[in-house]
Formats: sequence, structure tokens, C-alpha cells
Amino acid sequence: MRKLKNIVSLLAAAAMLFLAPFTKELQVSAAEPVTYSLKYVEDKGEWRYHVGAWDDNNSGHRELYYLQQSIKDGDILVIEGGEHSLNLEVPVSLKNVTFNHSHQAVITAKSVENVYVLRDSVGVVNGDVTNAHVYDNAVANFNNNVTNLFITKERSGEQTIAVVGTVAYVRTGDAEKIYNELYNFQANSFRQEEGILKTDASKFSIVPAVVSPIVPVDPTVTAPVVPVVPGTTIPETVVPGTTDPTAVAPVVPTLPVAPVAPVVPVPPADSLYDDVPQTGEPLFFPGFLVAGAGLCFGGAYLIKRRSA
Amino acid sequence: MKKTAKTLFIILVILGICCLSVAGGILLYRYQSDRQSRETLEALRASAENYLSVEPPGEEPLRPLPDSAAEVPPSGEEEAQSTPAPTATPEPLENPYQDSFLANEDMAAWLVVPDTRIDYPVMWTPRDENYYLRRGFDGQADQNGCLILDTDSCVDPITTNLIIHGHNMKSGAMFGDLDKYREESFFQDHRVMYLHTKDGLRTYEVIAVFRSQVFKKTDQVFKFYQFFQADTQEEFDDFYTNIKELSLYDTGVTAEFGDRFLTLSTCSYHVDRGRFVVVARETGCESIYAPFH
Repeated sequence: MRKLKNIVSLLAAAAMLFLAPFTKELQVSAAEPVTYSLKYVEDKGEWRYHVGAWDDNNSGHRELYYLQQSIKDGDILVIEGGEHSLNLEVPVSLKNVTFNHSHQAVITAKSVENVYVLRDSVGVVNGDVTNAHVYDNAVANFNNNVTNLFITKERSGEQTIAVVGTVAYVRTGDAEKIYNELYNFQANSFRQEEGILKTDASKFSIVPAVVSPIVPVDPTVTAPVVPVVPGTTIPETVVPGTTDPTAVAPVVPTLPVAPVAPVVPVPPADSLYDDVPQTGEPLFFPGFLVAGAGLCFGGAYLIKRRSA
Repeated sequence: MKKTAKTLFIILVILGICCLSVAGGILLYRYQSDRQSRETLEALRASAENYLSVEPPGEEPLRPLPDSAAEVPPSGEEEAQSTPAPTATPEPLENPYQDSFLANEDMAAWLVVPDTRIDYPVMWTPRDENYYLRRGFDGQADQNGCLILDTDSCVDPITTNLIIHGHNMKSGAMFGDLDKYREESFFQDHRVMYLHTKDGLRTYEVIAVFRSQVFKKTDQVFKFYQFFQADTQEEFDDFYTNIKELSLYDTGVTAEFGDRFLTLSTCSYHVDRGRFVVVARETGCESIYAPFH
């Protein structure tokens, strides 16, 4: 029995070693990120959160105070639609923040890995952003540095975007095509109004090779007021930590940030080259497998011979 | 020690069997998908043959250029003499590849280089240029893929340059034979190409053969794969001068502003991301095809 266990263990280990190259990476899981959905609850007169997707039929939502206590690095925020403004500060680095039909929402975090400002949404982020995705007619304001800004057209409408910090890489396109790729926007220079780039050409580069010097974000620079979709009014925002809708906070709080060097994205090797179909013959993978089998059988033969 | 050796022996044998089984499975799958693609293409060719074998009354059947075309003299003037002068608008013929066009709307044309294995449909998928890179005409997985018309090229309305990409397969499939053009003697025997589009049969004559490569986006050099339309003399001259300079030998064929080109490109291993390129100049529209539905 013990012998059998040993063989099974060895087989399992061998299988893992054999399969490891095909999976490309061995994954180690840490604490799972938690998704918090935020929505304005009319009968409570305040923003509430719910762990997981928002469920209107489920009253298990709680005050944002508790979210601020329990949220941790790597968690996810989804701001659901509504006509009320939100101003939320969390002392962590978030993995994702999604603005989904938010009228005007301001999220302040240490940093955010991915920000999604979806169609018909107005979103403001205080904190460095690695990847910012802005869709269709969304309005977005980033008050710190953005590494990669992806401006994507899904249906219709043109984005209005302002960035107070630097932007290392900007890509404009839709699902099928990339229209434009721009690089190294200087601090407080990226402005796009209804799809039209308003930045002076001297303040960015059209080639990725140019690395900008470290440009500190001037803390005295006030954030531009978020452009608002025509026909709407800028609502007042709720001061963090309060539920009093009459308490007014600045529309777009600007936090002084430490000088941050713009990060020039290192694109994969293929993306440095022109996009031309690769017409080479693929590697003959079965040949490698047959060679592997030959090695295995050869090794087995040697073992058998030695032990005989 | 003996027990460990025995265990290791068993593991290695099992691993070896697993490797062989997976390799066999992959080969079988590829064989089946290749056979399916081959059969599909054979059926399409046979369908075209049926149309070609039916001689329309009062009309010459579709045929390769006359043998004299293979002896086109180098001088442009003499070349012009060898090209028959256009007469009255010819009667539209039935498109021999109409079944193929109807079978897959992604098909933009059918390319034929006589006396080579290049006799394939050309697919055009602006939504995803690489869709048919590893797919057959029927959309099933196929290592050979299909010939791909560059998404920036267009046959209707036709652009100045049609760029077709194809795999350089060791088996000779797709553009596996294309690099034979490096020999001038091969060019002399295969200087004419045909492109059947929906509206007609276009004939081309090889004008330049050269090696190039895919360059970095930032490289400010001649990039043959970025020339699609010449609206000005300068644009035309830039392309024409470069391909003639790069050409491995003088084909003796010339072109002037207003001419159209067919560029065949395949991978080449002389440098990283190398390309072997054959450029042909359109010599005319040999037949006009009647619309089909």
C-alpha cells in the first residue's frame, strides 16, 4: 500500500513538472479580492455598499463607514448608477474601480490598478492609476498620474478626459482598430474634450522611445472641474464620512502628490514592430513531444540496465 | 535503491507513452484538418474547372496569357507592343469562382500562378486581419491557413497595391513556392499571375523580387507593406524606385504612375521577421465577369 502511495505521489509530481511548461506559470493564491458594489439607497438617503453584485431585493447593504473599515489592498469597487454624487476615500490600493452610469463619483485611494469609466458615467479618481479605460461618452478626471490610458469607442459618443499628472501612454481605438498611440504627456497637460485632444503637441511624444524626465506634479495646481455632459448640472458631493447631503465638498479634491516619474510602458516585443501578419511556419510541436518520449524511454532503458 | 529505480522506470515509461500519445493525437488532428481543407479546396477548384471547361459561344475560353507573354522583352515600349490593344468591351463571362465566392463571403479573390502550387482563394477580413492565418477556407483550424489580402488593400474599389500574405510552408503549400522566384530562371518561366475577382480576371506580370523585413514602427525606412494607394506621382515613385532598387535581378518590366500592383509576401529567414516579396504589375483585365447572386 505504501509502495503504491509512493508511486502515485511520484507520478503526480512528474505530471506537474511535465505540465508546468504548458501552464506557463504556477499560480499562488493570496487573499481573494472582495468586490464592493456601491449604490445610493433612496429610502436611507445615503450611499450604501454591498459585498458582491448589488441586489435591490437584498437589504443586506451597509453604511460606507464599514466599507472604509474593512476594505483592503487589492479590493474592487463598482459604483452603480444614480443621480447622487459620491465622494469616497479609502486608505488602500485598489485593484479595480468601475464607474457604471455614475452621475458623479469621486474615489480617493492610494492607487488604483484598473479604472473603468463606462458609457454615460462621470468619474473622478484621486490616486495614481495604472490602467484607465474610458468608454464612449464618459467623462473622467484623473488627479494624479496615469500610466496607460485606453480611450475606447464601443458604440457612440466622445470622451472628455483631464489628467492632472503625467500620462505615459495613450491609446485610442475601438474593438477592431487602434486609431492613435501617444506617449509621455507632461504633467497637467492631457486634455480631451468630446473626443478632441486639446494638448499642445510639444507636451507629448508620438514615439515610445522618448522618456520624459521626472516631472513632479505641482501641488498648487488645482484640478480642473470635471466637464459635465451638456444639459446636466454639477451636483454637490457628500463629504467623506458623512451622510449629510448638504455638506459640500470640493467637486474634485486634489491631493498633493509626491513627484512621480512617468512610467514608460514596456510594450511586448511584437508591439514594437509594424503589424504585419506573421506568415512563418509554426514550430513542429509533436516533434518535441516525440523527442521527449525518446528521452523518457532512453532513460527508462538505462535505469533498467543498471538495476539489472 | 532498487525500489526507487523501479519507480523511476515506471514513471519514465508512462511519461514516454503520454508524450507519444499527445504527439500522435496532435498529428492525427492536424492530418484530419489538413485533409479536410485540402478536400474543400479541391472541390472549389473542381467547381471552377467546370466553368472553365464550358466554352461560351462566340467567346474564347478563359486561358492563360499566350506563350508570347513569357517572352516579354525588357523594354517598356516593346512590352506595350506585345500587349494586345484593348478593343470593344468584351462580353461578360460567368465567373468560374462564383461558387467559392458564394460559399464564403470573406473570399476577395482567387490567385493563380500557373505551373506552381499557388492556386488558392484570397481571404479579406477587415475585422480581423489574422482570422484566416491558421484557418482554412471553411473556417476550421488549418496550419496552412489561407492567403490573406491585407486589410488596407481592397479589390472593390481596387487600391493601387493589393498585398497578399501567405505562409511559407515547407510542404510548398500556400506561398511555400514563392521564394523560388529568387532564381531568375524561375521568374522567366512564371512571370505571369492571375487574380480572379468578383468582377473580372486581372493579369499581372512580375516586376520586382526582393527580400525585406517587418520593421519597427519607429524605423524610417521603405516599408513595402505600407504602400496601398498612390494618389500622387511622388507616392508612386517612392514605391517604384524602392522595389526596383531592392529587386534581386532586373525583370525588365517597368511601370508608370497609374499602374496597379499585386504584392505577394511570405516569411523569409534571412533576418529576423524577414519577408520574401514578389511584386507584379497589372497588365490588364483579361475578362469581365457577369454579376452573380
